[in-house]
Amino acid sequence: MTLTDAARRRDRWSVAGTGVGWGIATAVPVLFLAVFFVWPVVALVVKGFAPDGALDLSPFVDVLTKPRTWRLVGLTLAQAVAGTAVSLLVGVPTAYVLYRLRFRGRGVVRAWVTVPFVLPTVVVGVAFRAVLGEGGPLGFLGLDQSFVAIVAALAFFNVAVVVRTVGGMWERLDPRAEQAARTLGAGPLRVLRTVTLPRLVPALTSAASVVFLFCATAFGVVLVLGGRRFGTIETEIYRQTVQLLDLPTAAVLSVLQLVVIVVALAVAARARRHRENALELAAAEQAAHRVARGDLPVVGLVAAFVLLLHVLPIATLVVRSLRVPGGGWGPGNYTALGTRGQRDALTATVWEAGAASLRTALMATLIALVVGGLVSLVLSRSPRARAARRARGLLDGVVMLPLGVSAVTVGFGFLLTMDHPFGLPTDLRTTGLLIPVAQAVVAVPLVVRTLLPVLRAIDPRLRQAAAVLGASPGRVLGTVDWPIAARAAGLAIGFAFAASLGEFGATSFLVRPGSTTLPVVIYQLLGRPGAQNYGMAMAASVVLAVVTASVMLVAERLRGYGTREF
Amino acid sequence: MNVHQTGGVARLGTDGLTVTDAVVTYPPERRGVLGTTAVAGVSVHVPPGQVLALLGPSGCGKSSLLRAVAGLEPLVAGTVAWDGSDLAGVPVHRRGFGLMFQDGQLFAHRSVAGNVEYGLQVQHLGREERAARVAQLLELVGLEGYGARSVATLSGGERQRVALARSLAPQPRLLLLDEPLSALDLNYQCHVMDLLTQETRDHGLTTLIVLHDLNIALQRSDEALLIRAGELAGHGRPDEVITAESLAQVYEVSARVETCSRGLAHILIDGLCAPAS
Repeated sequence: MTLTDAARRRDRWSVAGTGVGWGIATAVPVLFLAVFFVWPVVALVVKGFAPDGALDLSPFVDVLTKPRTWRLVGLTLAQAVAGTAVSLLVGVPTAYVLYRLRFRGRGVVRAWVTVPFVLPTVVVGVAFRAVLGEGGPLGFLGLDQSFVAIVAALAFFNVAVVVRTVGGMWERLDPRAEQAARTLGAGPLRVLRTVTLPRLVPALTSAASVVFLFCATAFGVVLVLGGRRFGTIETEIYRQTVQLLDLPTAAVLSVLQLVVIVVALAVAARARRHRENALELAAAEQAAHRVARGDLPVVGLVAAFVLLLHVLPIATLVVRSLRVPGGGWGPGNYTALGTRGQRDALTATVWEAGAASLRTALMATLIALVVGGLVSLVLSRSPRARAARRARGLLDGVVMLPLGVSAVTVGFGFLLTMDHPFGLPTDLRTTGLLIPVAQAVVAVPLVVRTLLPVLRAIDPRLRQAAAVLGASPGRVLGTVDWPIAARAAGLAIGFAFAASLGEFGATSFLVRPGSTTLPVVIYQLLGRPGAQNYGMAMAASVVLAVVTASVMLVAERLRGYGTREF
Repeated sequence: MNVHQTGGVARLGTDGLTVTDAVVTYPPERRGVLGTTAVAGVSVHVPPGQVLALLGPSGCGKSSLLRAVAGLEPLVAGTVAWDGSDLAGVPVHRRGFGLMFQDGQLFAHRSVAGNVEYGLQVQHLGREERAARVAQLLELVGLEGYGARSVATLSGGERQRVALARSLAPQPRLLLLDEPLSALDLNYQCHVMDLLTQETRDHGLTTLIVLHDLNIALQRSDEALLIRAGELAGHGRPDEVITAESLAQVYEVSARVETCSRGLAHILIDGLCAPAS
């Protein structure tokens, strides 16, 4: 009898232990997001509506009656719409060529088109200025610091999102529906219009809404390319905070930006639901075919796009980084990275900033991986208990918000809340500790979006099969979830690291003389006079681009099953 | 009222599996939709070393009953007990029951051998011992030499046999099989049923098996359980449970039971019942 009693006690402990484990796995990310995301955003809204503690709508009225505000809102929406349209126009044919055609070198082109998504925004801004600015290959167009330049740079990033989302679905569409249409007498264009595109609509709307979100919250690119004439709500928040120190106005603008984003997020969520439903219908079939004569016009068009939009800016950036001040060519700009720039433009050498960047990004990746990993794990299970289900629903909603709420908002919110949080004796904002945390907040949704689809795709009965074979919950995690999700975890690490390394929006609010990062240094170099500083900005951009692209290419090799949006 | 109220239920003794008034419900998927009751108060006792066939139309709650016994579905009411001790609060992995899923649920990231030895690794068996047992089991299901293959390369019937080998490997005291024969050709249907009979005899394995083929149930099970809409519609010796009347009632088909050349009962389905006037 004592034996059975012991066994019973063990069973009870095992059940209780599992419950406690899930409780902790839920509590850690919820606490993290509550402190470092919800609180700053709430503080920001409060600052906008009640700057001095009491409800006071005068800053609101002030800001909303300024014509400048409405011009910025208009510009934000216009560049988001234009950026989305161009990304779709370029992205859809590219998706066809890269996912429905088979040709040698396809893998390289896919990587070349998709890696830009993780390139630091500042680097892309610098590259487009190198192309369109004075002395650039397209400088004669006079497009430097123009609306067109901003839209082109936004497309540079977001074509990757369209290609991945639409291509991933296109690849899996059963070609027999199209073949059936052909046998019924429809020509290729008619098939495209009546069969293929309607089936792609969920992927197209999903891609469009995500791209719109990214374009509407673009910051680094606009700051570098927009100059004085062009700005968005984001850059205005930055200007009001950092240059004019007008926090109430910045807070009101942030609230305005939140409204734009929440609407875009809601549309995106709707589109995604449709997409998931439709994906179940699609057969996972290798439907790619060799390049036929009829494909040549599309292939030519896509080649031209890729050359103009992706190859030219990067090539120009590399070439310009090798042109030394005073004329001639050489590695002078790179050797200058060991200095503080012309007339001591910087507070540290570029290499020092680079090392600090790596350290920060490493910390941010670790945080993002723990928080994002736990979130994905919790969200991938469907608990039976009502309370657990409610907690899961809450987490589901909260965790995707940082993806939409701009990095600028996160950075600004940190400035408002993290002076002496929880009665801590030090002003956290001066320590530099907040930078990795802010970068992690920005990276968590990337981690979740990479891991969660893979974990959700695991049939729950597979875990049940393991449990029936005697595996404890911990063992199920180790032998069923982990082997399947490990490759996706590698990809998530790459994403988080690349995103943290290039993060500019939140970081730019939090850097202090002692703790700066490479993207911020590049931006500072651009703003200082002197040919040497400009050359150094080019060289530093190349270095940063090479590091992020390499990280991403390695991670891409680890790419797991399942579809992702980016 | 049950049509057949026979032997099994009244049997005394607590050894083996005892299910008492089990109720399994599924919560509503969203607000405003009613939840469903899959098993509505089923009681059954299976003595050790017996094969119990679970019969009934699709969606009648057979799989839910199996899942409840395995501990994968919580009981809303009633109990599941083994050798007289209640299993409430015993987690799935501590029950020592094997469950073979309808579609196998093989681990795609493991080889055939990796699947079969999974339960043995849980039991911390040594590498050589495991390899020997895996080879023996694969031979038993007619897949010798398949160990290193990826499960993705297998046919439906081969997958099902790997799943069977996998659930036999840890030597469970109770084996729950959800339509284990559905993807098998005639040869392997006989093969697998022979194997189960042999395991039951040699190792005292108790087996609950969901079957669609009534003839196999008639000839190969010790007892049969007929379920309709989550409720017991018959329980007892297979030839007492599977009759023209019960089939008319549960499946709404008209059937005849004949005796074939080897003296075994055999069912012939004529067609759907004529609609009641």
